[in-house]
Amino acid sequence: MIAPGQEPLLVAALGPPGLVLPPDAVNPDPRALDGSDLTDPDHAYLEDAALPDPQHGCIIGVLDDAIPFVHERLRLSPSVSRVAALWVQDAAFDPQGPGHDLPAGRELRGARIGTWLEQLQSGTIPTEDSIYRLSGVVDMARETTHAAGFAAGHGAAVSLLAAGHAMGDPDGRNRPLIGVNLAPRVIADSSGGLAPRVLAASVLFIISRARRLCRLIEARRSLPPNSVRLPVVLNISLGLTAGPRDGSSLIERLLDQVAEYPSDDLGPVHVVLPSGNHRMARLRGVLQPGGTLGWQLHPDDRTVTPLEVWGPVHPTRPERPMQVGLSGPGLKRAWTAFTEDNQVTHLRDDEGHDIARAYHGTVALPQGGYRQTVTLVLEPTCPDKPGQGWIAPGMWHLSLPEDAAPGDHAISLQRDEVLRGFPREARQSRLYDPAYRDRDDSDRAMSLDPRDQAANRVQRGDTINAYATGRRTLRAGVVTRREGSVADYNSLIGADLAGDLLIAVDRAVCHAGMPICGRGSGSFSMMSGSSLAAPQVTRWLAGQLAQGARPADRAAIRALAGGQPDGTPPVLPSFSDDIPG
Amino acid sequence: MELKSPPGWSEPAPRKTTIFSGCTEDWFARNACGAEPAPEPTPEILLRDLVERAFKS
Repeated sequence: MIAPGQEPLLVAALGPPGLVLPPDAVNPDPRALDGSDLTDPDHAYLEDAALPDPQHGCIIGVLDDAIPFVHERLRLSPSVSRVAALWVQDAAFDPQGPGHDLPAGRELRGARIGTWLEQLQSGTIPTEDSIYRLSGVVDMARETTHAAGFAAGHGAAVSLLAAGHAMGDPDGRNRPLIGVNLAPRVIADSSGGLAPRVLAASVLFIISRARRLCRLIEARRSLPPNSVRLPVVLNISLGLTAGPRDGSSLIERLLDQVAEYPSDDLGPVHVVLPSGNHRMARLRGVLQPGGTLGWQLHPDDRTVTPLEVWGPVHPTRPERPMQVGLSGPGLKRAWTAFTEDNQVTHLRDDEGHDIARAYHGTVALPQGGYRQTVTLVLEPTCPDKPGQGWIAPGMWHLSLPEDAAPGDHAISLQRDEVLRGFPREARQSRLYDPAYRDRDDSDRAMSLDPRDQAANRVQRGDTINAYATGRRTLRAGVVTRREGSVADYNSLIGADLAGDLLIAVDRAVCHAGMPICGRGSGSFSMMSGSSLAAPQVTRWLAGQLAQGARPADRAAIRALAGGQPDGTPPVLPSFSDDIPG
Repeated sequence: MELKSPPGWSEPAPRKTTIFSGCTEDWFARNACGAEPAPEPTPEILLRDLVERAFKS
């Protein structure tokens, strides 16, 4: 039980007010939960009729954008919701609402949603859309990206693949959903710069509410304290294309620790992530000391372009900082001159405008050893405002000095393109290696790296989602439904592994996409990508856990799915026949 | 064509934080209008605090 005076969920702000979140979203006085979630029927996570079976329930957590909490596939019956809690991070803070331990936004809980659904059934509330507006989730007068108003957004597709059930499906009651509508600014920032705090807070929200839901079940059913320990499968259909890819990022370490925590009042927590969609996008390369790679920047890019260099592992903290060289169209190469760890430096033109910024860092790896990294951020090729700095589009080059530390230096570009609907005038830059071919002589896609590779190269291998290289997270990859072959775009773990588990997304090699639910009940659209594989794996795993399976690690989960000892990832049966369309 | 020499990289300055990626620090530098990322404890302390808070509060 929560004791009065304990700390709120996360006191750290999600970012400066007005930048990450609208100012009116910020909770001015976060304080601990007061216990009303177990005593006040209006603040209950679920109505009694929707409480899952203590033995056969499995909580599904989803971090995404615009989860359609009104959708009929998230209801047990026309007026009973299966959404236990939804944190809408960018909604105006509601001082009367239940989420007063949150740093910002608004929390919606199942009992309150059920009240609106009853009014929808009686006609007091005219449409599903009215509930989104009444709840404050959609407010077109506020300055934000109105993702919750999208007809067929990413979060709708993902959450309904993970946790959507037809009313009357007996599994539905045992799969309550706890979700987070991430702040649109976080979704729109494809470099992940804003993500660490927000994702950490969101994971904590899911864990916190999952534990409280277990306590609610105990309270309603007069069960002993801490006797209900439902498992949790957390789906995060998000990714980065650049990062250390060694499990050392803050988010990866948090997810590993959450999955390994020996909780005495919650079941096991599993985290499912997509493998990624950028195998063939030429965002990943390798440089050796003295090597150079091309970097092609397109015209009309109004956003900055980040690239990360991650050096080899050193047993002790390196004595000299890593340096990089940068040249551009019409510009000679200029070398950074870091003098010690953790410095920033600017490359400026004759008029004093920035061309690029470089940030140096040294990371102490959790498993021992050190890696140096330099993040290069190039200015846009098209200024967004008068007087803003910009650089020439064309072929730039990244180099390492001859005296760089021996070994592979991993080069990766951050994704520039954003989810559909989010404003960001971005053009995706690419690495350039004259030896790289994506089609063979017969015009077939070359989806794996050739065996004989140059030391300095662009590659397809090791393109896995940079959030997904921790020890515990499960990586979901894509196969085509007709052929059962791995999708060419599916990013790779190592040289050739498409994921820990695979499932059909695209209808065929030449027929991309699958039907997905839209925001409105009964609506559908088509979508593609490993973001849709992850929630199907989440759904499958939740079903296994609900039946009592307790796989200890990735290998055990693969075995549970019928995986072979040779490590070939198993292909799960598709659920998408259940989806309308 | 003769290539121009850029003025060169500026004198390096200390970064604002040791925990955030370069992308995060760059975002704050460009968008936060003088606001800086709040100082954070080391990743080890931060993670231990976050996980304890999630499972114990």
